[in-house]
Amino acid sequence: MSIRRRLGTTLVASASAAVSLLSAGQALADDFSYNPPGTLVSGSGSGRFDETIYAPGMRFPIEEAPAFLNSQVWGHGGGSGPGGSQCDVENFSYPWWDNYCETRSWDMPLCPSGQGHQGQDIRAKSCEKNVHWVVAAEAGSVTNIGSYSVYITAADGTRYDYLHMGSVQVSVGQDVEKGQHIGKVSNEFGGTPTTVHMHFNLRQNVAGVGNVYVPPYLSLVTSYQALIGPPVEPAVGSLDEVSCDAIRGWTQSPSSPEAPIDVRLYFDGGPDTAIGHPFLADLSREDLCTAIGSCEHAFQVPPPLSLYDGVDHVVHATASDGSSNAPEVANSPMTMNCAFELPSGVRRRVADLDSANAWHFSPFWDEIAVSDGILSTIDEGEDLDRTPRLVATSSAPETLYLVDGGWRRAVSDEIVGVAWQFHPMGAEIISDEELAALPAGKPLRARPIVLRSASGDLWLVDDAPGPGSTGPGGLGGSGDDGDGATPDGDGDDVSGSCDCVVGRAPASSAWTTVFAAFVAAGVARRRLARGRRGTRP
Amino acid sequence: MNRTLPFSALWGTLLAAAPMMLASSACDAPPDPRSSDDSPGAETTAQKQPAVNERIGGARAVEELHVAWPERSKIDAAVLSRAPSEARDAISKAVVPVLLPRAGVLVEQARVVAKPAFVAASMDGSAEESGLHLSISATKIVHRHAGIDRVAPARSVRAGRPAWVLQNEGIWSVSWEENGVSYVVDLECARPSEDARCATEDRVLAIVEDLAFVGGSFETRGGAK
Repeated sequence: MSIRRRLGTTLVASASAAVSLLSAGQALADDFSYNPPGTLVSGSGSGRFDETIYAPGMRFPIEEAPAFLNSQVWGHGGGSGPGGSQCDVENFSYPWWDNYCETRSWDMPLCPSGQGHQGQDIRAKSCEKNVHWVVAAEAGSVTNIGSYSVYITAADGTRYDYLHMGSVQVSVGQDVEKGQHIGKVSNEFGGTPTTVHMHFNLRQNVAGVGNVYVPPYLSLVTSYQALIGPPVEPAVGSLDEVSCDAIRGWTQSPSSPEAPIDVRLYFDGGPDTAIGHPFLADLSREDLCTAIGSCEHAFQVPPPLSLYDGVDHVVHATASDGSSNAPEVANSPMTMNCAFELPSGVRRRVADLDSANAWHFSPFWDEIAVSDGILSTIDEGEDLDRTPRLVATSSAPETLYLVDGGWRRAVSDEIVGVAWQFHPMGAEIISDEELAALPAGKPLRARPIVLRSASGDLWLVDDAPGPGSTGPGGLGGSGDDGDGATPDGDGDDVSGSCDCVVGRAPASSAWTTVFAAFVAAGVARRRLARGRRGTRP
Repeated sequence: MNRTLPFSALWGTLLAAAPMMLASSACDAPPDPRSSDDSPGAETTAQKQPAVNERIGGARAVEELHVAWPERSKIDAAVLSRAPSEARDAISKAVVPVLLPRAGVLVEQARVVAKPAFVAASMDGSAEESGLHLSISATKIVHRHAGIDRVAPARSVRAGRPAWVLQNEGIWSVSWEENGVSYVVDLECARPSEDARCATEDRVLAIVEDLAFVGGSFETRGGAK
């Protein structure tokens, strides 16, 4: 069936519109261009300039190119448009237009005006309804089907909304794969006329805002480029080690070999079923300089403490450069089997969950459940402050200290800072004199160890407040003041009665071992410099 | 003291810095978003290559929240018993506390999906609820992004919890935080332009206020399975 005949039978369209449609079909992928994010059609409101790709690696949600992002309301055939038919060639032409935040009367927290359009209107290659397939942008579960909406929620909680479809192919509860047919572009709107298009939303629970519609534009741009562009050599990488000390490896994009890309770690499931934990693989590792021609592509994170339960946990790693193809890296998956050994020290009460969140204690990465019997073997120390106070001086802004009970405790290096989610940009700058006035306490341990009691109380295992083992050093701005910047290794394991210990454990003090492993790896970080670039005017 | 940055805003601040680094990579002359409605199409700059997210190494962009489980005694057994058996089975596996509506017949139609990061219930109305579609979801995942300023909703639901009350193509949507996790309720009418239940926010807010705790896995350990 020709496009012209379909038009005659399914749409009320003028002859000129049909001609325009034929022209639209000639749009070539090579001609693709798009306006910057936040640039709306003139007169249609204030857009949000936002370069974040909220759904990196998603698949473009229309099966075939070309497709066109623009406003259905302010376009031809729309209620506020320039007139003409919805099939006008201009609606099926590049460049694309963002229409997130386009004028609406309802609240939208991320829009400049506080109100606006929640998502992006997408037209397929022609204005025919129920012809062009809509496909799942990401693998996930169908969590709701309304009369004109389909929601698919991915493993990381991101919700992908597909509106106005016809011929819906999925049902609630069904698991779908990325790229799977879910319906066809149509104009379903509960009996209300709308143009033939697909309205696409991304919804996420965003820190500092809440569960809101986030800008989908650049996620659509990147996924479309992947759809229409030449085949791109997939990202590569390796999972070099999964042990009780560290998860380490590297990733690289052959198309952009100098730029660090993400690794995504999955535990006890693959990308379609488990939560992906992205980390920027930007550590410098000498062996990579020659092996892959660029040094700063390594990653190294401490294993999740919540998985120290003496049973096998499968760890998958993918190399994610933002394209739709995020392949599993070499040697993935690997298995970790770690038992928890209670380090010595005191337990310090975390006031409540708000305080735990302020410290960025993660129930997955930093916490482990213990019995009350275990808990009772540790002396109780001072309560933890409700929020951490991180300080540095202008003469050594990247040398961090936690002010804790009047003591300054060194954040020994960047690896420790990462483990605690501390960063120089979050530090309060104080004078050298103010810092010197704070007595040197014990350095921060290599990573936070948070115990969760049966009743849900949280306790940080820590050193008792007191002077650092090596005493205070100079504060002349060298960042090497010798004030206890090396863990003192007094986190001896509890032996005997610890009923949570199953399986193998580090042979020596767990935290000394962790630290030693980091040092032995010869990891040199450039993250501080990277982070501080953001302070440039 | 030269500079003070509230620690609670640490990662938000770190990530917020990233767009500044990108100004020349994705958009040589980024438009002022607040004046974009004056930008004639012919003068806009078509782009060829977008930026990739630049992040701070080591920062956790996807984080799990602490689930604050209500006591088991708080389960509304009457509401739970009205849910289909398949739904009750899924509820028992939910990683976050499940809320379902007390009133009406919607709960009898509930289809529940329980996954490692979220739980979602979908309900089609029948009888007096005919033409209503209700979606209730909750997630323990929070995403940290660059360039997001803290924004607090002005509205509140369920005993003063700050809430966003939004609309999406005629679908009413309310989101708020409770039990340490994020909830979203969406109410869709089959014929939104003709249905008084979707003409205002009243119905969806009434549903939100009426939600009852019906259970979950009571799992507190983080991690995906």
